Amino acid sequence: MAAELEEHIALRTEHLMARGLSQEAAERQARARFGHFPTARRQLLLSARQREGRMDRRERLQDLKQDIRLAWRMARRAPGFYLGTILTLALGVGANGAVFSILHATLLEPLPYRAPGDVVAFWRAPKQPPPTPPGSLTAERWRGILTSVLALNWRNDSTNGLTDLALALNWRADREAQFDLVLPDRAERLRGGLVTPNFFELLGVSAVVGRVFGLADEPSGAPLLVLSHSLWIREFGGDPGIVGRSVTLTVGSSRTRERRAFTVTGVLSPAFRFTYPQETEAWAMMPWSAVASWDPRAIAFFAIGRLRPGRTLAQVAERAAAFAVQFERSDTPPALQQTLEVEPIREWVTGSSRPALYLLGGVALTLLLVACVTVANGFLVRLSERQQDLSLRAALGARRSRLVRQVLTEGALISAGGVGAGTILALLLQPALRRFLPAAFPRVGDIGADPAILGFAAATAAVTTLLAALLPALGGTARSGATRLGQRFGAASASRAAVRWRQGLITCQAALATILLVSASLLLTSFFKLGRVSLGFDGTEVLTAEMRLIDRRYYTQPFAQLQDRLLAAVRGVPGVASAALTTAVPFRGVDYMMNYQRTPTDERKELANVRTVDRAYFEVLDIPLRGGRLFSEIDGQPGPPVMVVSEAFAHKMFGSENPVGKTVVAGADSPPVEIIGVVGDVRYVRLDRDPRPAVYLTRSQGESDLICLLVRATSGPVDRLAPAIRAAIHGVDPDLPTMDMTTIDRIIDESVADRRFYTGATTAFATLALLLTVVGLGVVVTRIVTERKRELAIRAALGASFGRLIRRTSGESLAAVGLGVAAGLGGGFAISSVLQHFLFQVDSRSPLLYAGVALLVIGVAAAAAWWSSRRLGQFNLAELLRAD
Amino acid sequence: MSETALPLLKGTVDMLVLKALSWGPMHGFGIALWLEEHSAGTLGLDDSMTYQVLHRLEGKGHIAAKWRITENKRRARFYTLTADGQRYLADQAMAWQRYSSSVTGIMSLRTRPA
Repeated sequence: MAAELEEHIALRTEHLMARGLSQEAAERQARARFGHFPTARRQLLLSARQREGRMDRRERLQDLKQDIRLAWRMARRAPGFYLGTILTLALGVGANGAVFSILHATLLEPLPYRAPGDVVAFWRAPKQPPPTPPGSLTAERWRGILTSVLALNWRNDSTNGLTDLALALNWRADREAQFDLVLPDRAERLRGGLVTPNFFELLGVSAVVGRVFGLADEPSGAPLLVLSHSLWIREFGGDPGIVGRSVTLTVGSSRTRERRAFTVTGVLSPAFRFTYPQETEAWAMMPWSAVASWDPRAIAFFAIGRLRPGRTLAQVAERAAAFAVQFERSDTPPALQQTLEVEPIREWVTGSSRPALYLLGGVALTLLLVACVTVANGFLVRLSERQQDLSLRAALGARRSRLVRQVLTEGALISAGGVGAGTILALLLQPALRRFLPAAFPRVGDIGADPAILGFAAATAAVTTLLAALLPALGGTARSGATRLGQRFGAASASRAAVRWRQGLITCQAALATILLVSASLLLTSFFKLGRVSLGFDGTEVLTAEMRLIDRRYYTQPFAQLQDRLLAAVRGVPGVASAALTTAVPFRGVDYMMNYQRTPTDERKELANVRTVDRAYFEVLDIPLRGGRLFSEIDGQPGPPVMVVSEAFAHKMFGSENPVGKTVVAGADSPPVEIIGVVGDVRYVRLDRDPRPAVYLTRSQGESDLICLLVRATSGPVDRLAPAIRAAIHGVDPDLPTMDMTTIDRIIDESVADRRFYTGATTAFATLALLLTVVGLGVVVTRIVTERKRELAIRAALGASFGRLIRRTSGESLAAVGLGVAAGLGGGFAISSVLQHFLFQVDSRSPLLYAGVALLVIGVAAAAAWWSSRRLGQFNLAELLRAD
Repeated sequence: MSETALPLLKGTVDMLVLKALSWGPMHGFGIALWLEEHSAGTLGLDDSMTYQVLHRLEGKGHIAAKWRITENKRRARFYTLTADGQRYLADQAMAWQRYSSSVTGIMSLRTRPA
């Protein structure tokens, strides 16, 4: 534009000079004709720029419209390719969207506190931590516990790097935090928390109704209560008038337990969570003065702190470790020394489930990769089908960038379709995945349809488009149109480069699918092994309920009497075949441990689980007697103490000697206990752990306030007896809080829910990957058959057998699959060491398993190749030759 | 007669420039000169106006531009009428004819109409 104006001025000047003006005057006049020249020039330049922008945009829009029209025409001509590609993308994106939403909710989403990254948890832990059990998402973390003296001193330490420290007593770890809400007709046991006044302030959490208590409430020391949103709705109908009202709770540990009136100050938001997976229902204020009067050695408190601005976790951790040393007695052996550990609160919530989530994420990403490769291969094949079209366009003067853009537009449209379908799939899949998630999975309630899914899906789609469309497009448009057009008249087969790309992609797919299949079969084998593991007892159709007798009135009469009456009432329920009491529900609850020696001076101690049971226990659970006898009616009544031991205990303690009649002691000052019988070993805590040595005492010898009822029915499902049993218990003790009843089957089932979840998901994803690989292979073989049909028809006419023809079309592709399988087996082998954590009784290097996977992939691939080549028999040579 | 609703000068100048180009490709200065000569100076246009009109017409697709070498070996931007522009010019010319003859007819009335 500027040049144009200069040109104009020059021409006008010449013109005026021709009329006799001086050059200077002519030039002045020429400029004057523009009005004020600089302004006019600026305006013209500006308008020119805008116009060019407009024209550019219009041109590009027209190109885009043309590309979209073209893509639409292509789609109508080859709907299979489009649908297949969109479906493949949808599978990859959908699976990832669903898994990512779980990862997002559990690992990435911040906890519902103010600046949750600054909130840390403290606990006392051995300097040498014991190994964690393998393969569990939900391994209970019994940590975060401090003594009052350590907590108080640490809070008052001015160099601790914290703005504040708050303490909590948790319902899970402490019976004192198990409140009974006294209602007119019954009592309900709540999951309670006792927290210091600054607890909510430290978390930065406020109430949605009323207010939370704070440090200002400390001096009054009044019993204050904050309700969880769910309790407020459930028991108080969501009445806002609850604030300031008084509710009665039974609180305190066994002997000091009593009814107390609490004033409700407020209700927390439904989003608030502190304990996972089950939220604490009521929070009572525990003044700091009460903490100070706590037994200084009792390990009870869960401590949280907030980092002071500018302090890092590492700094605080270092200071905490140094601080803890002064509370360690100098004569403590190193193995027993404790330290003050600190970690972000998020770790405490989701830390144990992270490995399984990463496994799942990795599996989903691999599936996405397989989907991308499948799509890329589809595009490559599609491109070689469209070579002539593209060559023609290039010959007619289309620039390479224009052709690439055209192919890219097609890719973008397909990927948009894939993402759309994938997002829908993710939204559909996600509730299903969520249902399969173990109930005890942390933050499972926080998983929801999330805009993050969409974002993630869009991002994966962008990558997919680039990978799938761009690379083959660049390769496909690289060479000149002339060679391509020439091919029309030669053998219409794909270029060597395209063939190499195809085979390479098939190799990739096969390798990735093989890795997933190896992982899936390792996990599946583990899972089935676990299902067949011998429990040592029969828990089918056994109903169980756990009761904790926390009240001082239970101490005014022997526990045994109440328990006898309970048992008698339950046995009296019609349909009950047998009933027993114990201290520990299998796979749930508390299994006490104790050290036993042969004599008080024996150096060797054996750790055993101690269960208090009554005589019917072995009968109800069908635990076999191996030697000696079971408890009789008179055992444990005044008389010498006796016990039944497990085979593992007998073997550890006495080797091959017969233990019956021998005695053991639990510590130096306890009386010797005679062993009267030996029973089979039982897996009582986890399916994937070997049975532990166990000893059984009769109820009368080992009183416990924790009682677990076990009931077997005469016939039919035992579940239906639950209401009658509950009524019978209510008849014996109306104040006993209502409890959950479930069957041992269900408890065991829940204990492997996490394993079932990741095993199922991995298997499903591996199957999908295999499916996609097969589809990819089929597409390529079909294409090869089309490209070479004339050659093949000639060969067939010359007498080549069908088998020979198939070898010609599929040989290379199957070789590529073979190469991929070999690479995949290697990859799977490498990954199996990572998987070791999740495996149970499976040799991660089992040749049989690897051979099985290899056979599966190659077999399925061969079947796909045969299916895609079956058209070979139908070629008509004469027609094919005439076609040209 | 919606054409007459256009601002007279603007619509007219567009038409005049298109008319100039209907004789063949011309550069901006050539167009300005052509208009001056054929109106005997009565339609003396501001030169910047000429370019605004040219660029507007180019934006609408009525004319197309290309750099070429003039007879006296200078580089200049030559404007050509497009097929679209030709159609537009024909429409405009027809409307102008009707408009101007009506106006002329009325203005040249000597007697009071019955």
